[in-house]
Amino acid sequence: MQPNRNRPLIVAVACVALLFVASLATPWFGGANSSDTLVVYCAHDSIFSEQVLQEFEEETGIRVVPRFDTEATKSLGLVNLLIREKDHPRCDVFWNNQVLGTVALQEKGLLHPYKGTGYSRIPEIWKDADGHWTGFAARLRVYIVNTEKMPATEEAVQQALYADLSRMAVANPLYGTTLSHYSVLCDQIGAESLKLWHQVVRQRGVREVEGNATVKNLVAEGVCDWGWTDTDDFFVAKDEGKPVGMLPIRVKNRQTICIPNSVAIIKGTRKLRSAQKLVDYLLSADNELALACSKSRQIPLGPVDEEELPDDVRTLREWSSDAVDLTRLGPARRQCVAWLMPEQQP
Amino acid sequence: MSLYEACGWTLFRSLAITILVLPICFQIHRRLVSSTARVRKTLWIVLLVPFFAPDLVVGYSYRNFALSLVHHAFLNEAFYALLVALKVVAVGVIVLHFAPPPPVSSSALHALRIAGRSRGGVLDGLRLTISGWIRGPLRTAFPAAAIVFLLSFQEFDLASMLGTTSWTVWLFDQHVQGLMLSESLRLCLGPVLCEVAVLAPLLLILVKSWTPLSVQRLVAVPSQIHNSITFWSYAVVANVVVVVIPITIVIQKSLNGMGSLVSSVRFLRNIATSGMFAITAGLLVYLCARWLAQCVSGRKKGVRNLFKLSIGLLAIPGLFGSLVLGLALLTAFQTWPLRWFYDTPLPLLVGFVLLLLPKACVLLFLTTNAAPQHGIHLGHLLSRSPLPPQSSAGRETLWHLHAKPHFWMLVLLCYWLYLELTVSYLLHPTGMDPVSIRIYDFVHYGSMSLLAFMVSMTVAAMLAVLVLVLAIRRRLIGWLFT
Repeated sequence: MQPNRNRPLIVAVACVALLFVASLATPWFGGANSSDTLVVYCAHDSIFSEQVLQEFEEETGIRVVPRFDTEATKSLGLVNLLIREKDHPRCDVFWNNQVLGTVALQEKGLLHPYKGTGYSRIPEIWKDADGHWTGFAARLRVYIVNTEKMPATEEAVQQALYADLSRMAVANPLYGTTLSHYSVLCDQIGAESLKLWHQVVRQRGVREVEGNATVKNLVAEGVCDWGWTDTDDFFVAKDEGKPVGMLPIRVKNRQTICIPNSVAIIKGTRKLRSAQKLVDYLLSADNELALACSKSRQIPLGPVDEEELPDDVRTLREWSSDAVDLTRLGPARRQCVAWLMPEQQP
Repeated sequence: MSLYEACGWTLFRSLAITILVLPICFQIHRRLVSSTARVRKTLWIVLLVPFFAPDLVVGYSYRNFALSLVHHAFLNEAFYALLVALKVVAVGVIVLHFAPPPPVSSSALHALRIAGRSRGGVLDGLRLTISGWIRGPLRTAFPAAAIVFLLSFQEFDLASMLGTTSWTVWLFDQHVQGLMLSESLRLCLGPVLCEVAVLAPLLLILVKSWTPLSVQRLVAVPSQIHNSITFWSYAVVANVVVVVIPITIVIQKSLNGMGSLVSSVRFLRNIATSGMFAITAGLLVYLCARWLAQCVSGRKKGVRNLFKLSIGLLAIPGLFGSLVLGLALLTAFQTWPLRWFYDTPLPLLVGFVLLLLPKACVLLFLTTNAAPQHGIHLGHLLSRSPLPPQSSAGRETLWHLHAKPHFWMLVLLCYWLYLELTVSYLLHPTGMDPVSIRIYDFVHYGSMSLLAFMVSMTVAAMLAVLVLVLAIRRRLIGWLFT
């Protein structure tokens, strides 16, 4: 090796490297670190939520930097991250894809109350009385059924429950809306009964997979016959022309499980006005209607122009009127997490 | 499944892969060294293509297939092991090719066997044979086996996308779901000890007996027909399973997804971010390796040893794999005084540099030692000629003999970083998401045409940059060498 000959090459590489370091620093200073950029932690599927955030950016000129969750650790990952970051919060607005995780943050005093224009149009059952969080654009827990394997009827599902459960798929109950589902069951039948039921179902071979989207994939491809998922995942399969049907999961007193998105401002944000703007935007009738008309067919919780609602969403809206009140399920969620978490420890 | 069970299973699977792959590596290597230089070049390409196939593409393509095996978990595990094995064979062969020659040659081994027999004692003979094997063929086999084992043991991307059991996936998911950082790091200890058990003897062998390449002589061993059969069987299966099928699946689905993403500025930003990080860190790691090489070559023995030790210390974090390195750096950057740099591009750049430093040092060592110094000298003289045709020929010679290997080394480093997932996931600053993270998150929604299009775009962007750089390389040569 002859250093004098290599020098031009090394100098050139070093210059280019410096140039790139500088160009990396520029977007960082102009990005999440910038004073006019909102950092949004978003547990809702990026495939649906990104469009909404982009439209907000175009409408208001406020730049949004989202951080999404993985499907495998849906919402719990971001909730725990917010708890970890409580002393030095980076997030300004939390858009959760369910409610109970947000309630947990409220209990830890991490949320900033806000009652804006959007808050007032959402019914009491779907929001915190003090304005710490507000629900919007919900979806239902449903049975997804491969119609080539069995009919999408309550009788067929009841029969399947007593048959070979290896044909049924459910998401890991520690995460996402399946955790909310378990919290409802825990509240209604008690923790001990739920544990026993969970154990029996597992022993009978139910396929526990990483997320609702995977449940949908398994049923849509006919690998499993039926499973638990959310309406937005069901509609992805339906739109792809897969042979799937659905019916709402009904619990005690034939109640349905309707799980809204929830939005909250993180305490300590230095961009309060921009955060409030985003919250109002997400809770607006226009946004709820846009989400209802989108591929995810979210159910509007506040008043919207009924005429413009797609037929699918009208049916879902009817079912959602029988929904369980989720706002008081905080203790049940804590019980479920405390029970399910150690199952996955070393 | 607990971490210990996942770790135990990964250990078992990695050992099984190592044991199965090693004889194949030997046979393939024998086929390689028996061929002429020109044929060997082609064989190397055929061999290396599956290794360089991006895990994200392979994992994405087989995700649906893996899901269809949900009722046959063992088959899914076997399929995953097959994919990993097909990918790591090339590395095993590379290590065998460049491994230091054993102190006991095959003729010496034969002599030992005869000596053992002539002494009469069975035990003596056995002892001599075993010691001969340990200092002979096993010394060559061990580095290859160790590297194959480490790569299989640290694998994350494919395991995660195919939903198989692995300690890396277990720990990553637990960490992302909210496990305290200190706890995640504590849980790394078991897997790290497994790696240390392999790394320590490996480093010892390398430090004690590594001979510069120029001193080694490639011994042409006549190949037998079964070596060729093994080589071509492997080449066909690996290229079809790891390259052709995944690319076909991605292209097929991409055609349907085209258009749905064209308007997504954010995705293009993700690609740009990945590119920027990859090129910056690639250049930095190249510079680090060059600097370390300079330090080692031109000093007194004591200072040189000190630098060698520094290289070893800097290279060690990367040898433990991306997950352990990512978690360690995350801890470091959340502790004073480095906390000031947390959530900036710095942790990811440092992570990338440390992750690739061992590979960069090895690549630089091979590149430098293989370079024909006399030819380079003549190229330099020619490039300074006042006659334009001569100086142009000189620059072209310099490109081929000197700059080209370094250029491709840089390309390789950037390529690895461009698609790196684990370190990116753990260390990227908010608002600067590399494209691998985006694709990883989308993979969980299923095998959609939109995702296929994203994967295609990601690979296409990388190829476009490469083509661009190749197109301007002549100007670069002129600039660098005149």
